[in-house]
Amino acid sequence: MTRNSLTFKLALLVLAFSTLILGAVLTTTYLFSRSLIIEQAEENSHIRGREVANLLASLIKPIEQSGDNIGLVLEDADISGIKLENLTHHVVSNNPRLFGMAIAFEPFVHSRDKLFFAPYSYRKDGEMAVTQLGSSDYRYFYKDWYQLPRELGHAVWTEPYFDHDGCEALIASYAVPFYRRQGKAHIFAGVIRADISLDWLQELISSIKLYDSGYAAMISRNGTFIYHPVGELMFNETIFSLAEELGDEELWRIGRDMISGRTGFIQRDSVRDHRPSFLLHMPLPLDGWSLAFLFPVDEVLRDTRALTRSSLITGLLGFVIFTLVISASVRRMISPLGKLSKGAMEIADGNLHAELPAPVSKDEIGQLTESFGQMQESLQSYIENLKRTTTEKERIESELRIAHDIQMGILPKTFPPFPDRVEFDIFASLVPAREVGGDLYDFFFIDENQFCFLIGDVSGKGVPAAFLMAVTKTLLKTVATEGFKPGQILEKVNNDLAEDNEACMFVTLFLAILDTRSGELSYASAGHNPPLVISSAKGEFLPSLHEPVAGAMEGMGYSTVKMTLEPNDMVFLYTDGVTEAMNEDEELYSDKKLLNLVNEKQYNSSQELIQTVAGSVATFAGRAEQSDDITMLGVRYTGEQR
Amino acid sequence: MIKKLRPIIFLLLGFFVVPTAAPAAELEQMKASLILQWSPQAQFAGYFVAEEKGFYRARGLDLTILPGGPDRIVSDYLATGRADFGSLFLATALERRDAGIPLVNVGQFIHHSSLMLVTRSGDMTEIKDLDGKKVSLWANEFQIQPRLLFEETGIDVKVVFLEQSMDLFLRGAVSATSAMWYNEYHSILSAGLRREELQTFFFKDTPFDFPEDGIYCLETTLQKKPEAAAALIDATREGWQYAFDHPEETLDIVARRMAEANLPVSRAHQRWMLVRMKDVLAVALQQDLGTTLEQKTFEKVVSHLLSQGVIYDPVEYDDFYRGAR
Repeated sequence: MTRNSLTFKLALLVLAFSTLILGAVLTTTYLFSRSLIIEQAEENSHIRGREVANLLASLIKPIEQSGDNIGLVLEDADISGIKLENLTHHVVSNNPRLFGMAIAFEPFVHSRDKLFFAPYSYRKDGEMAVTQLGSSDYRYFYKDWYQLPRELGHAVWTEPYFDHDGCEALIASYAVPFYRRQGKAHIFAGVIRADISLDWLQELISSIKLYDSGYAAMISRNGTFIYHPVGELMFNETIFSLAEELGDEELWRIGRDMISGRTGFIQRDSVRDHRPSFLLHMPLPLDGWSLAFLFPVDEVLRDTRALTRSSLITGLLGFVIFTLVISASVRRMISPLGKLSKGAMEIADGNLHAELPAPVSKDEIGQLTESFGQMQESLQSYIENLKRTTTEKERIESELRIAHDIQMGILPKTFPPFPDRVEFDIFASLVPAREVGGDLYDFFFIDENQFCFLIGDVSGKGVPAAFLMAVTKTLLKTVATEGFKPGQILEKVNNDLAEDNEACMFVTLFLAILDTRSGELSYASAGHNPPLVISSAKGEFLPSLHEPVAGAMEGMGYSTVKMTLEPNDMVFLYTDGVTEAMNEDEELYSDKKLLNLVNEKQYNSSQELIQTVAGSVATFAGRAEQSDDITMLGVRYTGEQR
Repeated sequence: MIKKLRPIIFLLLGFFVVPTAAPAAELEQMKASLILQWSPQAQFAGYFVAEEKGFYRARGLDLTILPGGPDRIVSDYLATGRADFGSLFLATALERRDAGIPLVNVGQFIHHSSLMLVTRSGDMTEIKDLDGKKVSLWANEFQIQPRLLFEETGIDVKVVFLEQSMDLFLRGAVSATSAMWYNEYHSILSAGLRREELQTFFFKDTPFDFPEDGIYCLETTLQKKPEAAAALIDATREGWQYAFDHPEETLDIVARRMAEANLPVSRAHQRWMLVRMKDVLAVALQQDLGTTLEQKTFEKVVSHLLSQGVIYDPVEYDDFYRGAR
């Protein structure tokens, strides 16, 4: 199957279009299912996020409430009688998510002699521990967990911090300001600090599984990573410093959205492994903290991609098979075409009997094969015919050639014919046209001094004309030698010719008898072109006698006209092959041109005259085909005597 | 006398007993300690790098670096002999000297102030807009310049003492906060604020452009260990040069020190700090006597402190500055 074959083109076309259609269908399907799956993934991750948020809220709320409640209790209670250590111990030990609790007082508020008073109960190695916060090295009044609620006047969640003086762990604290009523005034009295360990929060977030390798991350209000699978980010970087280090402006904006409490769903490369991922972020019920889910796009789209891939493979495979089947059947269908083409080439090369395939089907190809067969047959019979005709034609032509040769053979062609006769000279020429024509000329002595010469032109061409010409020539000679005058000769010949002339052929004739002693010329004409008589270098047409052509009708009379030639006068006889010779523009040579030529100069012999006229006619005709015999006969009377 | 000679005798003995144990180039090592005025961070990269790369040892100084922090007051460490040398701001050192601790300056690294006040854009455009507002200032010696500025501007601010984090400012508990250009300013940016969202006032653009980090010791320490002081300054300068030439290695060193101190390490933050330190240390590194405390600047600071009542007794430059000239 070459690149130019019909099968190849068809196969390519089919494959290309079907692939295009398959591609379009699959792309549409993929895009549609992709957007569905992504929507679903977004929805699922939202649900997941809300679950986490709710779980967190359920764990955080009791902690916040315990802090708030203690704050309220401390406002009015007579604290001097309460063992605050017992209170914090009790609260912490009863709340498994509470890591520690401190009640930190303003200087000298709890006891007038104590700068620091802050009992702190916390978990240490699974046990409860109690300590007092505050020393010259740990001035808790300046800690964020103390200052923020004091300055803001409301409870806050702190950023995560390492508590050096207390539990020596990474914690975040819910810090509630509390006040003491002094008369009507509310005086700030200190801060209740409820700690959560970040360990369990990190555990909670790290346990979230999304798809195969998705992960969750949590950032604080300031963007600090509380949990991220890349451990070194946690508590070291904020989402903003990471964005700065990575030169990732998009990450910066995401961070800003997150700490602003917005929810978002976008696609971007994950920080952990730079895989294209979906990112969902949503706020947590923890004072500006925020949760993010990242899950790889390819895991989300794995099923729909697998489906698309298998559809693609099935489709492509199907199309390849389809194409192969189409190719095979097309090849089978059009296989006669190749043989036909080969056969046609053979026929073109001349082998008409080249083998053509037999029509096997009734379709267009079958019809074509049949037509080819018919064409071959027609060609064969035509060529057969042509051969036959050509042979026939060649035979006829050959016969005609022989007839022509015979015809020419009966005309006298030896010049000078009578070398011992000085009274005149004579010259004649007959240039035959392609076909056998009917021109004739002849000359002979009737007796010692009567010299007869004639010219004639049989109507028509071909073999009948040649026959009539031969008959006429024979008749003329026979009759003329019996001593008749020219007119009588023509009368007799006319009668003989007209008899049984069913073909209604005729002949024009001019016959003259010259008395070589006196120069007397008697002549008669049967409708022939008037000859020229040239005397003293001046030619003149003999006046036409207007007498009928010979052979057409019996009993016609012809007159004999006499004239006398002076020495050196010439008589020029010709047939219409001269004056009606045509050039390529189909113009006739004409009488006038002939006369002009004759008058141009003095001709010293009939041969010279005839050759000059023949040359002139040939020049005039150029490359135009000669359509009629060109026959001329000239006689010059010298006047000399023997 | 014998007591004083004892280390030398020991050293000599050591020299004779194990002559092949120490390389020929090994110097006699003077023991000394240095307390930095803040927790480990790139602000002190030059010291850490000099220590790690052996620049101190190469000058015969066996230096122990004590990390500072909000609860460690350098002047106290020096006064009580817990440290031989300390890094202090000039104004702090003068104030402490006035309070009776005989501190002397043996080398000045930072000639201009990196201290600044930061507010949110739109809140305030001039310092006097802070009148009556809460401003968070560090609890110890860092508040001298702001207090001078507020006093000079004639405004009254409510000072909230500041610890390490910028949360007071970020949460809006204060209107303005003091910050170091190389440190807290970037912390604020790292909490998701754009530079254009912040209004800054640099003290280097005010009359209170006080030189900052310098190396101090007690007069007596200098008398006892003059070579140690010179070696400390010289090696630290080399440490800084190395730090700026090898920022990634330096950041690794700094990060390690910070991790040891349980401090959060943000590489972006330390990178910012290191680059800023390069800016503020340019003078100290470029000139031969780049660590010389300028007399004119010194006298200006002294007169400001006197006029504001931070110190009460005039101080002579020659008494106070004892470094290279």
